[in-house]
Amino acid sequence: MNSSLSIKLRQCAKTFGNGAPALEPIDLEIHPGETLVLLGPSGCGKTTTLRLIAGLEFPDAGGHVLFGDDDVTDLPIEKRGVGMVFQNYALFPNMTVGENIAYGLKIRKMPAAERAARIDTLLEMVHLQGLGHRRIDQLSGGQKQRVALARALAVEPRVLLLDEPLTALDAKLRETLRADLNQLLRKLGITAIYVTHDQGEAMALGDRIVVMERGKIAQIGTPQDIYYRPASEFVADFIGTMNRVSGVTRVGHLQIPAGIVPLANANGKADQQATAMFRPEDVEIVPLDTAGAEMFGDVMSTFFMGDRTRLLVDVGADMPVIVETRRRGVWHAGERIGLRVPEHAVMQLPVQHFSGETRS
Amino acid sequence: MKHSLRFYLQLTFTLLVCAFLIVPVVLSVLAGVTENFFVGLSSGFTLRWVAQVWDTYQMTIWRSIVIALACLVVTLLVGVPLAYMLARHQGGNSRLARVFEELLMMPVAVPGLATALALIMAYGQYRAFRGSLLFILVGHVLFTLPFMVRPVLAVMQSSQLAVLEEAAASLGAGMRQRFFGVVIPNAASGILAGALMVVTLSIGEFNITWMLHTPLTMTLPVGLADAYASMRLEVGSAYTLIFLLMIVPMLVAMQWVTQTSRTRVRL
Repeated sequence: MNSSLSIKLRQCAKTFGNGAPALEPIDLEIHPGETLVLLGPSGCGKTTTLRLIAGLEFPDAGGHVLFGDDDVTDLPIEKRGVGMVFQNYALFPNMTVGENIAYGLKIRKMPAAERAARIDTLLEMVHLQGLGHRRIDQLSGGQKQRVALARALAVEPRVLLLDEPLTALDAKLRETLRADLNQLLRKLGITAIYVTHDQGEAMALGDRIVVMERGKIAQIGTPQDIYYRPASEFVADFIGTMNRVSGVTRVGHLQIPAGIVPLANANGKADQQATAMFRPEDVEIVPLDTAGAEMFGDVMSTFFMGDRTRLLVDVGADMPVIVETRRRGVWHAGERIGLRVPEHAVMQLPVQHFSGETRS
Repeated sequence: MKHSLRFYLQLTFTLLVCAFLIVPVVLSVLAGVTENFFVGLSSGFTLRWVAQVWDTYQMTIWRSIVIALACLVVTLLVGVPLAYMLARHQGGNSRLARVFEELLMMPVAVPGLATALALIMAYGQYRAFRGSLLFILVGHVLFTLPFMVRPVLAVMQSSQLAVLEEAAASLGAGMRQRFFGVVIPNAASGILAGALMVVTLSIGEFNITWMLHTPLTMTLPVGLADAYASMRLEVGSAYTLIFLLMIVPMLVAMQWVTQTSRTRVRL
């Protein structure tokens, strides 16, 4: 593989024919060799961003796309040297597996013998040895996406672009392919941009994640940043499950109707309205009589999920607190339990939502 | 096996309808090989009439084949790129594309005589053109073009052609390589269906051609009308027989093509 490529987007905006902006002007830098995941709900602009980088769309005037030091803004996709994997595979139905993989090599006029050898290498790389002569309609969905991946990698692209490549597959297969993909991306060290709406995929594959919302970047960070230190309410809600309780700040904690939540930095002043957030898995269930119990609530319902149990607990707030525990125990609806959240697990949003800035 | 009365009633009705449709064809074919149709089959069978048609009208047959093939070439060269452009323009859903498609259908809806008359009024004064096969060809292309464009457009819209092209482009294929390497092969079933339709329609076209033709540019169907009008019934019928022998294999081929392209698994 070539040495990895860095990519920069400068003030890239995209407005489609109907006048509605699909993408507000964004700046984004993708480091050489990293896997960057663009994550967000449908219509958030993640696919548009990917297509801008691919050269399938062009930014509005003033926007620039840089590959390394080259300004490729005006180059169409066929001149950019990118590899692309599509959600619905986009394999050529008129060609065999091998011919699909070799398509880009043929365009580059690689001699047939060399091409054949390269096909074998690639088939092995995606664990499809010996399937080169199959027709495309004889493959399963997972196999098709492996072929698509091999086809994209065949031309040794400078960057690999993946547009929801696992979305069309069933859950089990998705996980296997995700693991393989992860391994492959690490091994190749190729700069990769991965679009998905699945946060699990984003966390598992991304070196960094860009969470997008309505054509804007809501937050950029490592999976840990995004999960533990969401920059906005949107990110907090979109990634994982988040509990939110409101109360009044006191020194060192937040006073809520059902008890207290520790809060080291209560945004300065005491006696202020504030909201604290914490993840379901960070809540401990403690016996009622323990001195450590800081909140009390009534179990509303329980869901046994095998590896964990999820409880919905009414703490007298608008929304029940969701608790996930790995403890083996049985709780019943109506039971009163004590809860405790360790201080380090409590998050508070910045008072104003500045995108890209996280609370420390 | 036991069938109800209802079954037999339906069967009888179906057979009657079939007979109603087929009897004229059979009669026509028989007339073409009968010595004297007014006397009846008892007058004996002969290939004399077929031979006479071959002698008198052979040129119209060749002419029809040449025009049909030329028509096919023109509709391929014009229709396929046109369908491609309609399919690609604003994702194939643009108003312009729909209006254009409707306009293409106009010569099919408008009586052929009117189309032919308009052509003669507009270009009749160019004598050489007026008297040449090209003039007939223009009429045929006008009439058959939508039958090429429509099936090709349908295939191009239903297969995920846009994404396939994007994939090809990402692998470095330029416009031409994409068109010939990806677009054409994946629209092949539509192109084939359109091609057979165009040839069949062109060979049988009468309305426009009847108005446009000169004695030197007479085609098969016009010759057929000529034969029925001016010669013995048996000659005209023999002519029909020859026409059927040409057209039936094409219709069968057309069915076969649509069948195979339908059973092909769509990605």
